[in-house]
Amino acid sequence: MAAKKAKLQEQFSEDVAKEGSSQSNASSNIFHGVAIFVNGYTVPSADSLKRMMMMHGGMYHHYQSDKTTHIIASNLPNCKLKQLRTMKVVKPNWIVDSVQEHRLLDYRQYLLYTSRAQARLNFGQSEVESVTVVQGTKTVSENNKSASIIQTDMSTSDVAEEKQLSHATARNATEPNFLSEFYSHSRLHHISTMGALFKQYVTQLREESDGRFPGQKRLREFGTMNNNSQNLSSDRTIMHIDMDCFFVSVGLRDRPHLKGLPVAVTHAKGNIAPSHQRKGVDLAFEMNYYKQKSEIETVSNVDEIDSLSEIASCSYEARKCGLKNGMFLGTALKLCPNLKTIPYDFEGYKEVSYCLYNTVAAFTLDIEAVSCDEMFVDCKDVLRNTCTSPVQFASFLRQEIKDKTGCSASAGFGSNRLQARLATKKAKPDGQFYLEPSMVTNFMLDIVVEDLPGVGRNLTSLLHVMGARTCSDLQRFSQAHLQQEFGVKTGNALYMHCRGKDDRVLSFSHQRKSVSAEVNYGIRFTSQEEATAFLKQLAGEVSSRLKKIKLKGRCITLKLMVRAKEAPIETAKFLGHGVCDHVTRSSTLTTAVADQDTIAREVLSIAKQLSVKPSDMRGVGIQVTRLESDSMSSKFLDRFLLRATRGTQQANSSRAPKEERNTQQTVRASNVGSPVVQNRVSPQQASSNIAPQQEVCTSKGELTSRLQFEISPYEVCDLDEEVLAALPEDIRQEILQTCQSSSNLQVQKDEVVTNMKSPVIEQVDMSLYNSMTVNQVRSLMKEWVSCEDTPQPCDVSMLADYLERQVASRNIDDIILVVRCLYRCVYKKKSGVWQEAYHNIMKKVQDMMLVVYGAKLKLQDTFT
Amino acid sequence: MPPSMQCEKRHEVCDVWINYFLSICLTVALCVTASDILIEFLEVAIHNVLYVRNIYPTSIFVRRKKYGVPVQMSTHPYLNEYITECLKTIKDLLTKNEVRKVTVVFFDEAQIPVERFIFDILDLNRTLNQDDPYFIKGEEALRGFCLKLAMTGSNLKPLPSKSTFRVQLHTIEAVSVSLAEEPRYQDFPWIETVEQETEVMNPSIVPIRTLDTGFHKLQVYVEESGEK
Repeated sequence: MAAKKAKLQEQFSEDVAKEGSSQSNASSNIFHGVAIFVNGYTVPSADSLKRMMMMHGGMYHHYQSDKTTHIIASNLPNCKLKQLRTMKVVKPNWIVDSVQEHRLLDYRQYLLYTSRAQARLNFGQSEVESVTVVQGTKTVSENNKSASIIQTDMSTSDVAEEKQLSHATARNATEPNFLSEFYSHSRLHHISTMGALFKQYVTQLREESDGRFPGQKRLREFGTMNNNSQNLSSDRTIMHIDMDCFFVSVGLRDRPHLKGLPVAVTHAKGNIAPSHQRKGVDLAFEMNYYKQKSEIETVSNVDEIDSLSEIASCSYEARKCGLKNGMFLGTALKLCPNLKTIPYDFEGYKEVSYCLYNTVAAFTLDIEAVSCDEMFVDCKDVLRNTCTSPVQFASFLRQEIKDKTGCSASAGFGSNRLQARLATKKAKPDGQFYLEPSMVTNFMLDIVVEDLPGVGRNLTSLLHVMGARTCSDLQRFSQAHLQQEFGVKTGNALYMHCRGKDDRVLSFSHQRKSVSAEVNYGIRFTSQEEATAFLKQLAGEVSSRLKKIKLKGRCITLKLMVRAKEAPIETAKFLGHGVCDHVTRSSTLTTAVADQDTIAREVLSIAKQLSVKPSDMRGVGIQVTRLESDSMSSKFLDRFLLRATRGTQQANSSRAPKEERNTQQTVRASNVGSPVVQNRVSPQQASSNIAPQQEVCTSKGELTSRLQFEISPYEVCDLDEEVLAALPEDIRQEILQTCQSSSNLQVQKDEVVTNMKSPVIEQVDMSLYNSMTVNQVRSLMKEWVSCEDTPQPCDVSMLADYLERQVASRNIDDIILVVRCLYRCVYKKKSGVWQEAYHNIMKKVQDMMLVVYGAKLKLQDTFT
Repeated sequence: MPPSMQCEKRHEVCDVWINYFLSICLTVALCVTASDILIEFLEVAIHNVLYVRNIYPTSIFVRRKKYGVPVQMSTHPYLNEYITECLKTIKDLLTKNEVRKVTVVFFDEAQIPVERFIFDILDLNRTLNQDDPYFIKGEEALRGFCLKLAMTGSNLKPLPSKSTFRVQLHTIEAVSVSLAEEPRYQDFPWIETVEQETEVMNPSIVPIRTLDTGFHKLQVYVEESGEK
């Protein structure tokens, strides 16, 4: 709050200077020493009063403070009068008249009230006001809040106007250019995109590298100059570099006067003015929620007026007062009242980060970017090439970083990631630490469990319950015990990490896994149309990001944050998301997409299914996964296709007689002319009925399959199918083509034969599975269920088609085997999506059964 | 369901037991036709269905070996007579290719059908398959069916007590007239059924086996009532 007041004052004096230079003739100094605060509606508006004060040497306070000499008001409610008893409350005419007379008039003539006259003067007005006050106090007593909320009723038109002014940039999501504004302001957006950006940057640097490192030469010179002959290079040395309170130190580059003071980077300027309280905010509820969730001290003693803006980074001086990153500003100000806040400087961060990465890249490119200010470096090559010790390298590098960026960095060395990271922690601030292999055992003993990677709040509390606070405690547990307690993976990781072991290798090149855009600030829709429009916009954002990195995705996920049932409508943080339920639903497409329309359509249909009230939405996110570059097609389907191809060859010989028999049957039927037979669906009829459907629902993938089948039905059998399936698409195509050309003649001959047999064959070729045995289908299905997290609609419809066709050809023995197998697989999977897919398939099968047999199959259809 | 004619003969269960062995001679004629094989198979199947569904006390069944696997055969003379009489008719109709389905329908006490075993004759060949002169493949299929049938009981809910059964034929319209006129069937008359006596309420299908012996293609499955 103090900071905000100070800032406003600064602004005011700046404006005075400007005004003074432009209109020097009209200005005077009559109000010297007078500081006013305008309360409520006045006849010359607060703004014009401000200008008058500006031009005539006075001060104008946006908030009342002890330095305020006069309060300007036209009328005041009773309760405020009681509060302001000791202050001089003056009518605005005082200032107007003073300016006209060019001298400071006696304010006593203009007092709004004297102790006796007050009631009479404002009688009519105050009665009206008192009614609202009563209402106000009633709500107050309901909410069990202190009297400070009474000021809520002050929100007359003037204050509302001011509120609008102060939140001019904080729009909500219904406004058209909200999205672009959001992305230019969101802190998380910047930090997270920068992490990905630098991972990409390192990959790019590695690709463009010519193998020369100018930094190494300098380092060698530095090494020989200092001439420490100790050569400590062990076989593997990992360095972890982390900038010291990055955001703060970047911010301090331009503000040298703040160095050495407690500084925090945050959006907010200070605490909210009490008059800006919004209605419907139930802070107590949210605080309670945060406390339950995190049981941390950061949220303790937060008052109504405290700022809920989070601190992104704070200087070491501030940390001494007990501040932590991620604390609410309101709390922080209580701990450290003279905290200076500085705004974000995203361009600065970017600049410094690039500089940092370029500096390190001059020495080596074995860099794993973690975020904009943090990275792991494999220094084995550097140290060997330059014959320097890690300590020398670190001091040289850190000095270089400091010279170039003006910010300090800390570096830690170890023989793996974990050790390096822990060493950095010890090295901070502005230091370096080499954790020598011989020291590791002792070093690890004192490390607290929270510092281990992957140990969050949850795991920490669990470990504390077990009595493990430091790694030495943790080392007492056996591997089996930890695995039993926390699962195989986590248990094993804990067991290794607490001994300083870490086998995760550095990954230098980065592959994008997902592209997403998420907004959970300012989401306040009033109608479905607004929500739809916003989703479309967001889809556009995702689409443009996808296009930027030339990828397409097959899986589109919609994430919604929905106001929790018991949560208040209005959140404590202005336009924040408050306490929410998270809803995530995804859908998989047959082909990878990147265009806005498809993504938007898909997302809207998911949103429709979820049917969330637009007014309850608090956050919206779209994520696209299963990324592929434009040329790649789906891998899984290909495997299906290849198997099918193989199956066809095997069964090719047996197919012909079967067909003959089928035709015979129809012939017989028509001979007899019985109504029974004619009504019975013959296999051919059925499959020809289904055929058009298939063509509609299966897409590109299947077309290629047909093509593939046509060109290579026989020669593929000479190749190992498994190997072929595992090969990348382009290589496989190449192999297939070679095979085709080598046995071109034979293929042609075969095609002729097949065509002569029966026209039915063409239909048969279209469908997958067709000539596979039941066991093949079953094993394929098992594989399908076990390796896919969510069933893809194309595979589901393919299986359903297959089963429908089997029903149509009265093959119920096989169906029951396949279906039971599928049931068992899905049952084991215990996944709702799969169960849904199973039900969808079964519905189709049963419908077909009703057509063909007039009865459903007896199946297990519940998963309980 | 297609509009079809169904003939049936009701068999009443006797309370009096007569221990009497009726051996069914299955003479292997020199010229074995598809219908002979099918009739033989149907006989084995019906006996076993009755055994599997526990409609009679197990003591009236004796174990025999057929198709290389143990099968159960009733020793109750009236029951056996009923079955053989049915099969006789079926055989006559089969030679004229006039049978579509043979069903064994189980009724509960209120004479409502609760379950039926359907032998759906998909295909019937008159000539011996040259690929399988010793009928090895065919016998294997029949053997497979017998084994599968023994397991089917576990997939079905038990029949209500005091259930009865009837054999029903799904055939073509003209057959009912010819059956009524044929003097051979005077002792064993067939009557037309109404739909309430054939259709199982709210049925669900449990497949048993589709047999392809080379002579014939036969699909056997059970329709089980949802309201059993």
